[in-house]
Amino acid sequence: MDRKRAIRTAWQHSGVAVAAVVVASVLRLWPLHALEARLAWLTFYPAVAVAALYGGLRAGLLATSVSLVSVLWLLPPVTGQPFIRDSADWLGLAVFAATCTLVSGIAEATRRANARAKQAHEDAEVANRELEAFSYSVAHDLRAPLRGMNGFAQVLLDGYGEKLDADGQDALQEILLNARRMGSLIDALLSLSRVTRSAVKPESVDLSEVVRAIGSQLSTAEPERTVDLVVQDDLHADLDPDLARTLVENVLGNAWKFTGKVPAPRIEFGITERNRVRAFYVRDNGAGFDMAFANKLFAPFQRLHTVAEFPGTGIGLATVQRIVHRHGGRLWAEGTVDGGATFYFAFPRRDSGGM
Amino acid sequence: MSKVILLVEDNSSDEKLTVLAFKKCGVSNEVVVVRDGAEALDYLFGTGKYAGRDTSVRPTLVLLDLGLPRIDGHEVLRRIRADERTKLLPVVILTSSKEDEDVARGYALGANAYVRKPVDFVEFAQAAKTLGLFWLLLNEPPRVGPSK
Repeated sequence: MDRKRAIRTAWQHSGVAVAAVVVASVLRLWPLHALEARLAWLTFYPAVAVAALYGGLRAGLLATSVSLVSVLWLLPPVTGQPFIRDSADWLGLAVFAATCTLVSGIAEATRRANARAKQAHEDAEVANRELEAFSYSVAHDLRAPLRGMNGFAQVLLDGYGEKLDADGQDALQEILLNARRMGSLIDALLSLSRVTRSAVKPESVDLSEVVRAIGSQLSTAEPERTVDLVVQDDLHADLDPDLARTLVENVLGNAWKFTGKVPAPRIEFGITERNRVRAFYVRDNGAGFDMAFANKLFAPFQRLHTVAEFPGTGIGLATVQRIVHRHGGRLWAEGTVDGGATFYFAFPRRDSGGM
Repeated sequence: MSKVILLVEDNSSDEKLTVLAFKKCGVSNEVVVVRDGAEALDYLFGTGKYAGRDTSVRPTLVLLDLGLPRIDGHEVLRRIRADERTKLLPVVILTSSKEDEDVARGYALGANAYVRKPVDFVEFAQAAKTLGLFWLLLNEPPRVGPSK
């Protein structure tokens, strides 16, 4: 089947090449007959270019040859005068042939580069889809045995706990704790891969509103904490609403978590200009981080604090980065140890409403 | 007539845990366990291994996993809904996945509820208790049957 198609394509290319030259001949004969024998090749240059762009090197060379035949032998009987009379005309012919060969060669190279780029793009997409399917299925299939481990450890603790001494019970608790932790790691991994797989449908989102909503959720979850949340009003961005929510949940949740040990926690959300780029920022006065490790902040499973200091999976900021990248934006962070952290994210196009 | 729960579950650990969770919270109904989608359909329609089973005795609740050998959960649900005898049967999808696609497809095929199995057994037992209370005690099951 492929061979048949290749033959049909070759015929199509040849047909277009010949047709282009026929049109060029007709144009040269009639509307341009006033030129007489001057600029003999005028209409044949574009004809060859068309053939080469359409069919590559072979079609270009075919059009060049047919053009030569047409100018040397077919047109003179019709016009009654030869197009080639002296050595200057032969030079013109040579220039025509050389230029056309060059054009055909360039067209062919472009065609091949395009085909390669298209193939590479398709390959990358297939690989990406496979990877996502893989991580989805791994994450799901990992949960089942984990549930078994956690479940039966709990059964053991509930039913036979009194037969164990304190150390034994403690060991069971550790199993339960670790299974739960792995469960949340898998969930975080799933949500990260979901960010990549889901379609981005941007619309104008009131980020100030989203920040306030998530802020009140966080304070409902931890009513014993008082955090001073300062939100600049009416900051809009063109984002996918679901992903925007996930983004704010993670950035704000992070700020919330890392201000847990300071006396007067404060989180700000606003817009600023950095290096002539308008960027949203979330600033906190929490634990901060060492700028030497800034490059590790956004890599999945990288953490700059121990789980005992601050719980977490190391997936949140990786998720944020993917969301920002999927919107064509940029994300960076500044911080000092015990001096708080600021996360900036900038998106192309309309960054802020009302400005 | 006692109310039977049909548990469609291929993972034996999950099966034991589900039964344990029901026991723990006092749901003492008989739990019939089938291992894959084909067996579930055989049980419901009295075919194959379950040929000759009185199919007018229907489970009060079907707990259906999605990733099943042979015939997957979504297809089992589709066939349950396509058959006159079982189209009103309460079916709760009980699975590992909470992918939007799986949830949406489950509801589109006529699932009555969609519950994600938590990793934590305490949460799992809580979910089983809620399911048992709601579907076996609170909920009024549809009355359909070939007897009419």
